[in-house]
Amino acid sequence: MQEEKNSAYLQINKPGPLCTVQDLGRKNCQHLGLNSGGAADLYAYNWANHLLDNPRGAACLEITLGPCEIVFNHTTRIALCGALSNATVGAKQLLPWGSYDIYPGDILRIPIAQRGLRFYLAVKGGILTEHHFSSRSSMSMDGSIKALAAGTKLAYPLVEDASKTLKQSAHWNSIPDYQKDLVLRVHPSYQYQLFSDSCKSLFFNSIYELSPQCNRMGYRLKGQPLDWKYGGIVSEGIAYGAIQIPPDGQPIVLLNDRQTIGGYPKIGCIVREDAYQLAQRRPGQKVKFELLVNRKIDSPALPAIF
Amino acid sequence: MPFPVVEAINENTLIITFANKPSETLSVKISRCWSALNQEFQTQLINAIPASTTLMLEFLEQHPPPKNIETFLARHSEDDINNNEQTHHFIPVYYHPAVAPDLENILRTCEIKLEQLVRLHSEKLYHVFAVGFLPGFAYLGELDKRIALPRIATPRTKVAAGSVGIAENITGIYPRSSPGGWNIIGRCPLNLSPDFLSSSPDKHARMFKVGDKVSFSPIDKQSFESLLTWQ
Repeated sequence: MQEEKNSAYLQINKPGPLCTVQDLGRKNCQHLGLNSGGAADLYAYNWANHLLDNPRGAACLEITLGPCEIVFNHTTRIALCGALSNATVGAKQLLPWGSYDIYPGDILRIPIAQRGLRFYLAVKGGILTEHHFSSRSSMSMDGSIKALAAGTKLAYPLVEDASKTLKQSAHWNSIPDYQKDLVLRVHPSYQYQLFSDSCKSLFFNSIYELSPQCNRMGYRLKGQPLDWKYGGIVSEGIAYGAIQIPPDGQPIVLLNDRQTIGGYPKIGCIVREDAYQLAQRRPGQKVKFELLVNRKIDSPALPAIF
Repeated sequence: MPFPVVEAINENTLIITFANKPSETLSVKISRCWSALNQEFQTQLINAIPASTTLMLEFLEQHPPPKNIETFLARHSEDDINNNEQTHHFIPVYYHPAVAPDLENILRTCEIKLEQLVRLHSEKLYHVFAVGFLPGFAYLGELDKRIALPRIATPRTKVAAGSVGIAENITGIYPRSSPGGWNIIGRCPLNLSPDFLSSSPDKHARMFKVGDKVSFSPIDKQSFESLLTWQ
């Protein structure tokens, strides 16, 4: 980052286990074997930007679990959505899914998440880092995700008086309950038809537990193993939310940082909005699959502009 | 079922299946269809993943009806589609047990001499069937049947960057050091790891794309070492 005296920036004092810049993800990159990245919970991410009237796709910080500490050098407005904890700015307690004025020297402290897993911190106008493949999502040279280190400074646009705009917060019924057992609606696609009827019945009638191997690449589940009779398939593109069945029969739901192609069979693909909620769940929580009928999806409780 | 078949994967993703089995002509065909679809759906298409028998298309919003894509593909026969983007990559390889842990084993299994293996591997023109597994890892087909071997039983925890491997009827080069289960027969001294942070990584000379052609040229120890120092 260029450290001009006049530029506005935030500094990450404590990043927690994984803190990255995220937006809607990279475009036209997957044919090179490079994943698209992007905010794991686009619902909370979109809300954080919406609360500040940011343009669609403005870059936010995705803060996993916490604790996290960030100091701001210039006036701005922030919004914090996603996971819930007792976040503070100075002595002020922040309400969940709200927006706040920030003054030079203010310190945002986010303790370990009590509910959910990923916080989205939006700054007025969006975080300004370099674009790669039309995205600011954090990446190393080799295409892997780049965790932001303590001391990292990130620029944001200079705002003279952010408090002139209306302060907004999300209505309580727009905030998801991350403790709830999650139902994942399934598009019957990929090799769905090739799985046996008894296998499909087992899949839709089982309760799966999230294993400790859950991250931005994918969520590995534990439960009734699913049987696949045909061995490997010709490697093909893996879509966001695809449900892969490896040889041990335990499903893996693939998310933002997944491999681009793979040769394991897939029993279908979960609905996008459900994948956003899955990304807020932790190991040990329960999920269930439900067949999507007529491919009809109820519109989510997102603000109209998104 | 008549090919190509277009199916919906989720709300915004379609997959086109062109055939049951990979082939060299198929990978060129898929690459051409991909270019044509890219031109047609430019602004709506956010990612495309061509592979050996399929092409996956991810759209910004709702995907168009599969029928529309089928009609589009039927309207555009292969000959109509201009495509000058296929690059021919030349890859130098040092075939020697010092850099290839599986070489001697393969010679025993296939009952051939080193010179013969080098000829069988390097005299063929390969096509990129798919890119993935690692960023920049290209699946190159098709390998001569006489040296087609299954993956090793227990994958290695570390395969050196530049290692040239074979598995079934496919060959490929590890762009960076990684765990892997392919039979390693040689090493390329060039750095093939893509730099995704460069200003135009897509135009990188050594960035493999489906449909590209690849040739291997055998080199000796001296050339291997001199090329290594160029990195």
